[in-house]
Amino acid sequence: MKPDALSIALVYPTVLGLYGDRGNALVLAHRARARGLRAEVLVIDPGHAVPRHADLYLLGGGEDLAQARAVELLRADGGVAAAVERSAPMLAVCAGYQILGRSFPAAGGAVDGLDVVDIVTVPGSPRSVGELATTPSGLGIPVLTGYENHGGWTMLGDGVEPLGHVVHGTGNRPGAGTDGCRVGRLIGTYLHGPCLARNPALADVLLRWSTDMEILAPIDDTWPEAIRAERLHAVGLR
Amino acid sequence: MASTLSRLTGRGHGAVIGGQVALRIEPQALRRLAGRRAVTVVTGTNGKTTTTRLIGAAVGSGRRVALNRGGNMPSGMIEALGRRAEEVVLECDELYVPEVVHAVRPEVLVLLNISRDQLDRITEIRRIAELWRALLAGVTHPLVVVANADDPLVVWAVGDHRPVVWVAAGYRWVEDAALCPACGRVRPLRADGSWTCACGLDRPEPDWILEGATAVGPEGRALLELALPGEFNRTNALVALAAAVARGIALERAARALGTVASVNGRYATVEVKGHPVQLLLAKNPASWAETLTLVGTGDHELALCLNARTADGRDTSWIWDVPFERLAGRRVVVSGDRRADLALRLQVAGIDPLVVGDVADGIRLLPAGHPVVLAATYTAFHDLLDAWKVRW
Repeated sequence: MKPDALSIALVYPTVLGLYGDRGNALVLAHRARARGLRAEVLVIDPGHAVPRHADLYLLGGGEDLAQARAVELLRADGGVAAAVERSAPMLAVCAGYQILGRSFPAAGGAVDGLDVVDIVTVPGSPRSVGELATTPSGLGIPVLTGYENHGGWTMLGDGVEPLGHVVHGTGNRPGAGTDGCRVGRLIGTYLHGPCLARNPALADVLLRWSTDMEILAPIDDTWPEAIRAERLHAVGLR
Repeated sequence: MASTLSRLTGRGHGAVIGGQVALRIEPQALRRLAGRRAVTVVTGTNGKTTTTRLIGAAVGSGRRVALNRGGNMPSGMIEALGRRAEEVVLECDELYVPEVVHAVRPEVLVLLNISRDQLDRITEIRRIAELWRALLAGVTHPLVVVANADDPLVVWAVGDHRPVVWVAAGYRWVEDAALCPACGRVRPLRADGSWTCACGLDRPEPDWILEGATAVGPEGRALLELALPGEFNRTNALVALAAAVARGIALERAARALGTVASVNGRYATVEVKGHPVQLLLAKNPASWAETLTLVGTGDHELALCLNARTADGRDTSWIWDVPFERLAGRRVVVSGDRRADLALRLQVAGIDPLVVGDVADGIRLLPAGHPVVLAATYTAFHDLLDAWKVRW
């Protein structure tokens, strides 16, 4: 983190932001400020360079055409690939998750991804729509809750760890029992909701990674906890 | 048919129930009932119920008009088509437009706008534009399309269909128009609302525009003196005027009739709650909630919000994070509905003090005495309030 402020790069929200995923940036900035940190959200519109030195990168969901266009622009820009290369913390949701892999389906064919994570997404039917709950592995945080809405099935390459194991919903693909991926400080997932609004502990993991702070003071989590209790109850988990 | 039935809400409205039975007996019911009467079909993400009512008023001076009030899928249209009337105006769900246009062969089709809504059901916004585009490319009967020139997705959907009456109906929700629908290029809308793409897709020159509160069209100018609030209803009225003129109604007469619509199925009705005048708005997606915020931007108006996420509302509440609540930072907002916790967090992050209550009336009671309240609710929350407060619609 720069001495002055935590910088959160929200990549192409007008193209990769169909499902309220910009909320992840708002939640992170809110939680950072509640700890007395300064935080700024850098909104990167298509046609503008993805910053090379942001502390944290966020990608969200989008439609086929938008996803195909986004990957083309991001490949030319190079900023997201460079961020993965230097192990910058990153949260990539749904279409944003798929485009980091080798290929994904769009516009009736397979489109080459950025190929920075060893995953492949193929068309899957029926579409996976509904509440998704997973148990994350290795992060020391409680069950994750969100809403998935995707028509792709994602396969993880050898050695790529999933973000979590599915307890309700589909996740990466039917039968796999996993959702998302975790590679170093990069997290991919199908959890909308937005993801970090429903999972404050995951938001704090990303904040710790981006600030190098070991301990974050507790803050008022009345509403995130109320949402979690309600959503987990809705899928029979509480 | 099964999917139609499964999507119907549990609101037990007679028109819908009757429609289901009629459709089961006679799949061609729509076609037979429409007969040779003049039909106008109205569709789009936002404003279709209000615009349908406005068109009904405008074409209804001197003629009998039937509108569908019980549902905007084919089953809900049966009752309206069964009534004795020279003119029929049908509000139509975006996804059912091809089916309905083929069945009833309307004279006029009104295309308002396309933006994100109920993404658990309509998983891609572009799919709607594609459906409409395929319909219009293949339609064989004479059909006047009245379409929003400001919405790139609508313009692309119209394609080469003619005749078209283009209306500058506004497109304030630019989030879903970042890419050219024709070619996928990044195509920033210009600040003045105009837009163009290198591939050739351009904003058409509108036939109808607003100059302040005056509608200006090929037939001349008419002052719009509306009872409905908000800039968005001025553009709905402009579209309704264009559609009524396309149906052969004189401009002045149509414009006057628009002013007689004061509430639409309970929407915009004002009720007294705990000493506060409360204006009821149905708002179900980020574009319509954003419009709602413009009504409380000034003065001593208070805001109350009710968020449900039942089937008819859309199951996913993520969209509340796309609503620019930050504009109201520092204010207090009453929050209710099944998903009030989601909304409370959204508002807290926006710097708003959420007053979270199980019953919205309990929150309204705590607001400064006499302050008028704008209450926006999602579909099922809105109808629960109409029942609770015995609002007739």
